Amino acid sequence: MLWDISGADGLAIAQTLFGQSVSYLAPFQSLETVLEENPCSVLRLCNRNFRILSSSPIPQHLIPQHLIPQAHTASIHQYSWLQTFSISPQQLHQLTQKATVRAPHRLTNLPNHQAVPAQLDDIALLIWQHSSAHRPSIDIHTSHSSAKLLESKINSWDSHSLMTPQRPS
Amino acid sequence: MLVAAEKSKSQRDNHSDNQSRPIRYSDIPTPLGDVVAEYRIAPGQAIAYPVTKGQYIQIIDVCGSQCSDFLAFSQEKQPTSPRQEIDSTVTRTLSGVANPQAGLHSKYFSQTMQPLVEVIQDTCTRHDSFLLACTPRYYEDAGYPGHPSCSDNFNQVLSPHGIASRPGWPAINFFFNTEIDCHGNITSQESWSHPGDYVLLQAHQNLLCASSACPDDIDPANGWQPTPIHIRIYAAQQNSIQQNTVQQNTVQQDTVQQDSDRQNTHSNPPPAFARAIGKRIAANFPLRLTQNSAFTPRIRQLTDDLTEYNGFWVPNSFAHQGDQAEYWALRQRAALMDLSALRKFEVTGTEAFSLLQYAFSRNLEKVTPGKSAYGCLPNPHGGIIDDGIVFCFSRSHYRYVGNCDTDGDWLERVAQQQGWKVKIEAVSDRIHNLALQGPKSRKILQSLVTFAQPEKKLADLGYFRFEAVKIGNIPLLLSRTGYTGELGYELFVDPAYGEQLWDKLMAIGGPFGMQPLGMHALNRARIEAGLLATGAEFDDLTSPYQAGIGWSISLKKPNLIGKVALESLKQRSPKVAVGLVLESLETATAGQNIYAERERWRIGQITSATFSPILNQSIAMAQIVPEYAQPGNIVEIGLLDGIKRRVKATIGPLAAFDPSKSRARG
Repeated sequence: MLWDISGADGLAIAQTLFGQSVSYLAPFQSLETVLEENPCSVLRLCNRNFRILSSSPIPQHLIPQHLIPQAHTASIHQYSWLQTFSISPQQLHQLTQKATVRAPHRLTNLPNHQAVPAQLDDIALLIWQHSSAHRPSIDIHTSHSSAKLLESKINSWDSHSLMTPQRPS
Repeated sequence: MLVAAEKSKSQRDNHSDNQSRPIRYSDIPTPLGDVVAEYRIAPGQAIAYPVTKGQYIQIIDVCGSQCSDFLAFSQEKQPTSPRQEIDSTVTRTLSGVANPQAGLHSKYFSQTMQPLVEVIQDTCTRHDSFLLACTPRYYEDAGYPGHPSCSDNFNQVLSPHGIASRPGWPAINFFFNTEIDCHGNITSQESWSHPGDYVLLQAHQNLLCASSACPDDIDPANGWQPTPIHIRIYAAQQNSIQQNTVQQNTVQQDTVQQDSDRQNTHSNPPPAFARAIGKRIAANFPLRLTQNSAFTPRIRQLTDDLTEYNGFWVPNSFAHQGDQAEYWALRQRAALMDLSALRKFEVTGTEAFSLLQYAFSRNLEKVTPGKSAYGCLPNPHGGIIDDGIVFCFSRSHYRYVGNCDTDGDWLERVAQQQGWKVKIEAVSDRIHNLALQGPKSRKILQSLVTFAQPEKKLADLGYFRFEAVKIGNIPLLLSRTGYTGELGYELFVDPAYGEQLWDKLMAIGGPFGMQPLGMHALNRARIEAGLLATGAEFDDLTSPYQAGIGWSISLKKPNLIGKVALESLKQRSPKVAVGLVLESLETATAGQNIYAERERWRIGQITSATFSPILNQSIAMAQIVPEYAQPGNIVEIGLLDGIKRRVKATIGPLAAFDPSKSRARG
């Protein structure tokens, strides 16, 4: 499941949930952590916005009362239009050959725990290379409406099939 | 301007000349490269001309102060959608700037977000993309029915190409000096462009272009007198790039690979001409084009996010790092940054000491050979011309390192006025510099640096001390100074050794966790450390007392420029510099107003602000009236419009982080 934290207090909430280490992340960098015994990955999208990949919902009771999201301060939500699926390292290699990015983003030498917004033909996607439960993972975030087309494009490159797309629930 | 216009009269009559009848134009700069076509647009006229993908379009203001409106239409056939043309709203939205400029945000986009042209060079930097090309209606409303207009001229020249007329064309109005004032009014004045100023564009598609020499003679837009515009089209592949006649500095080949809006691992070739922005800093100084430092080629391998800063291309941040990672590398390990944009001047002669003792704020009696001192150059009314560091080699040889090319000119004038025998030599092009900063910087350098006297050790090099040393076979000047609030060193080197030095430092620093650092992270660090930035904390109307460096003014010296004014300002500065720690994590921005608690009236303004990762607090540097400057006082920062949201902040030292400079002092 993908959870998005955004707002003026987005960083404060992320720090409360995941510790000071999230403030070390630059936009599009991520870290692997554990939240109430559930492994999760935390991706920073901009100064105050974070995306969390977790198998369980974010426990609201962990958020201090004064940071409970309200109005402009912050929100924790799931985007119904956002879909994620994983690809293999071979597919990532091919994807980085065929996809394009807008400067100053770069696809070359994409390190672990790094994401990059990219385009494959006319499909916008976010490529995220990270670790989940200590296992390397390459996730693609794209719109629900583009997911099938993107899947078929990537599948057409080689025999590695994609993992089943997971909708945020 | 009149003389130049007169000289070109015969050429004016031949508007739309092209390659088939080559003319040597003596009233414009020499071509930048291989010309495939050129056109002279007579005053008040317009032309349409084809340009193929990859070619370059140079739009030259022949006499100065002349606007040239520009249209571009894609020639690529798209049967299901309207013809693609430049869309300024799309362009502003995608680029985040009012007008694209050479560098990262350089492209003009179509309505379907496709790049049509890209700015490669621009020597004027003041253009308009908000208004239409001048229209018949404008002239009618002003009492000039029937006056020629750019829009009508465009209609005439575009009609043969099947492009329907419009009452007004949304053009890119090059050299048109417009501004949106604080009330939202769009005002226009005479163009900033000088004779020979130009914009160099690269076509990203096959295009039909149209350019005008604006006929407006009823307001100052064209200096009240329309003059010609010259268009040169250069080949996409250049075999013989000419040295730009206005270029005073070597512009190395730009290797940014962003030939279209998107790029992949197989990037398109870089443009044949170096990307550059022309800046003028003073009436008696030549136009200066953005240049690379000795380290820029290496930096470009690591990032495409470069920006123009003080005449140099400098990195904002590095790919796959980001400014937070660079910042933490600086605070916890080490970071390497290119500060070659600083200006260096050798001050030599028997009265070099007298000059700097008079013109520089610190008492140089205490700055003996091997020592340096931070201070400023005050002006006669107590404002700051520039801040910088004086390095003492001997009483007859100093080096001043500041921010402005004009510093040397100022020192020279002072020396002349005083009749002192001093030579001021600008050596910025001969000395480029890196800064290696961070708690591990000493360890990184330890194994690399060799001193002339073998018994010397790096650890013995004290704060604001410097030595001539070697790293391998590279001679350099090593200085215990910096701009980050950390233990650190600055390395001044001959540009010929630049890449070699960068490689050595990156190789040895890597295992220590050292990272290259860009301007975003540097700005965050310097705000934490309470260090001033020109244009933010000071200018020539700001006194050292207001800027927060009153401690650097030695009023005990018998003579100091601006001494009388400074003595008065010391007694009662209208504002003083303070640091602020915000109650909220929201980040303030420069220029935001500061209010007394629960009051409507202002007491000061933010000069710089950032979020401090190490303090986990939002902080700011500010200048406020002295009545509210006591440490611990609570004030309010007006965010947004100053009414909708106010954030409380506590007054503290200018440096929110390590105010005693214990880390920098080592």
